[in-house]
Amino acid sequence: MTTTTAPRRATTDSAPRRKANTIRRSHHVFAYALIAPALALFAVAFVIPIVYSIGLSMFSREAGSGGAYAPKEDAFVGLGNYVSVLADPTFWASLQRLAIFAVIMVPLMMLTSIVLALLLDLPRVGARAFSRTAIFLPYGVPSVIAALMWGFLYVPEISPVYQLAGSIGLELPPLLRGDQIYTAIINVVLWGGIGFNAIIIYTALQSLPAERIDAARLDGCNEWAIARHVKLPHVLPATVLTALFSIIGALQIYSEPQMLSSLTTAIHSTFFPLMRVYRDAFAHDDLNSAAAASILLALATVLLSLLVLGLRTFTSRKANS
Amino acid sequence: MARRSRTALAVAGVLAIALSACSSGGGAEETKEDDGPVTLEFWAWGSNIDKRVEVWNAENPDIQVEISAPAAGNDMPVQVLSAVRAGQGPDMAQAEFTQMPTYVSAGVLHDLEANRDDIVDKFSEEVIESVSFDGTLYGIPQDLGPALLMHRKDLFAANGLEVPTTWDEFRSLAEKVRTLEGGDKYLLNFSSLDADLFMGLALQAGAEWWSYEDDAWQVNIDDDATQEVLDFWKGLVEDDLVSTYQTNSPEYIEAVASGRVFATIAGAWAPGPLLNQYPDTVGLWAGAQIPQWDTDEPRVFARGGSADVILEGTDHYEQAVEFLTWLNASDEGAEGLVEVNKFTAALHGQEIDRTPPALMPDDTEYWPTASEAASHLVSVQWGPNTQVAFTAITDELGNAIEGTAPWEDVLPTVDKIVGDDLG
Repeated sequence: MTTTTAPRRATTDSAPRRKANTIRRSHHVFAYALIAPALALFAVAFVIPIVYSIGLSMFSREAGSGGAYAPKEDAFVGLGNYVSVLADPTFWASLQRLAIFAVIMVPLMMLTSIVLALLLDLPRVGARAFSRTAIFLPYGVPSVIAALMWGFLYVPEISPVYQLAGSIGLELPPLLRGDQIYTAIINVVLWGGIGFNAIIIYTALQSLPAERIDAARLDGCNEWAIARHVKLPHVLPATVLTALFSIIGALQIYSEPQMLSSLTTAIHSTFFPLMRVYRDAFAHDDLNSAAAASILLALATVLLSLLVLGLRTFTSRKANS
Repeated sequence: MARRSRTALAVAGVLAIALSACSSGGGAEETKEDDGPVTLEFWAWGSNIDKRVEVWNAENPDIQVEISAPAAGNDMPVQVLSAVRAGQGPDMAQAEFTQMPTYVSAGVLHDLEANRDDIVDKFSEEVIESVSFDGTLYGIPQDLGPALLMHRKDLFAANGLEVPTTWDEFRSLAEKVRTLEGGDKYLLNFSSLDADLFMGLALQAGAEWWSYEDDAWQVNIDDDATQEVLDFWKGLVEDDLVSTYQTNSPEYIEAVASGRVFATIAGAWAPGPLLNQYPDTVGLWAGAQIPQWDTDEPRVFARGGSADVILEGTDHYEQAVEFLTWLNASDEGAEGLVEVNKFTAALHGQEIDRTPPALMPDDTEYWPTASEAASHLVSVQWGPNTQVAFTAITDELGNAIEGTAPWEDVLPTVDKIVGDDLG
């Protein structure tokens, strides 16, 4: 779809053109053969479930007739499920909590990732390979495990951190209570995500030509000035990419709060949108409403992604100019 | 033009592959054999039921039962429902009494009317009622969980505490426990996760949350009895007389293990899980009747209790009924369930002289206490959306305990959510 426009040559001789066409055609067949497995996977794992979900979201299981416990019957309701999801205040409340979470988490994620990447890139940093691995490792820990692990550290009664602080007379705030719960969740998400994002930015830094840094150094820049004026503009596009990942990650936040909810009353079943979807589908046996809410969320994700990608094109154009 | 048609062809090919991959799931089901051994699939989470299945399998080579536990109690209905709807469901499953309405209104259960007479006279009327819907029998009851006040006998004795018989005494006792040395002791833990406990407490006080009149459901959760119960617990929580750990969270388990929480209201099945969780406390526990509002007229609710059901898609209804009747509704079956430490739903099992649970090897009074509790069970009308009520209670009680919403909002909100869901 992207690069199929071959340069057009004005020629009156038809034979070479036919030959070129044949070659091009066989190239195409070969290309389609190569991408067919990927397309098949895409269809099975993506297109079909989405079509199925859209179908599901159009139906509702209505109370059947004939008795108090009459089996429910499928009924076509069109956009009814969407309307009721959008009319439900708990849906908007969960989006609002998601927004609070994202507005704090995403900038923090970008900032810390950049700082870590710049620190890794400093000359004379010893054991660079080790630091890189150490920073990246938390990304390899499944979010469920990470949430469990941090959860244990958050519970004052059993946390070694709280006990240590208590023994020297320091009182740490209860992270599982009230609004502090955002701190608790964001900390787990950052812990798991910073390494991945820092490595992306660090990799972008590696592509910076050494001459440019040398030139800056000859001009009298210290490391701070180099970071500020040479490295930062260079990694801006990569940073926007990490922001995109973080935003999508934020919209999909589920396992961390779900795991932490078994430790605290501060997280209830509709705390974040996906938790609400889970409740509908698996506690209330209402797959239809869950499907409608999921599709709304998916649309929001796509829109936000397009927005950030647009921003990325804009910034990279600026960085190149 | 040519290129476009090739693309279309490729897409069509991909879709064909995808669709065929999708549809190749259902073929293996059709083998229906009337003669020769049949294998029944049985989804059940209850501990030790596998031992009874082994006995059955050894004696009945023609009807083999394959037991598996796909999920713990709470997640089970959704797994069963999805499997049945996909045509891959088991023949039989274990269902909590509270989950029965979900199954029935999903229309996935095989009714047991054809075998009604072999089943009903083995159980009390209340128990049969809790597995009957619209007058139709849908399950064979297995075990009961009449609520008991499980408490640390040793800690009660060491601190000169007496088991409370009324809720007023319960509150005074909770106050007394708070004044004990250390200042970190609680009589009981009250968790928003235990929605079924809250509903039970309301039932005990005389609440009737669902009623079916004139072809329509009435929801009455925001009633006086429930309000009284809520106010009682609100007082305990606000005065810091009960702890509010999340049930089964690490901090709760630690608090019980270290003897900082003295008691819990649990079903008669409690000795099993308690022994698993706190193996060091053997001999330290005892069961007692739960506190009452009116001691002249004791009322006990059930925490848990389950039945076995037969799923709509089975090809072996007769064999399934035969097995389940043997397991739960025969004298031999009841004796077997007693052997594996169940408090049976069958009356026969409740009357058997039995050894005390392993958690309390000297407590010969445990099972008689449980039988006594079972004789005061209040009957329940479950709504078809009990699960919706439970998640709503958990959320709203959680908000109240957390302080993010006032206690006054709990019942009106739950009432509205449950009512809207039915409407």
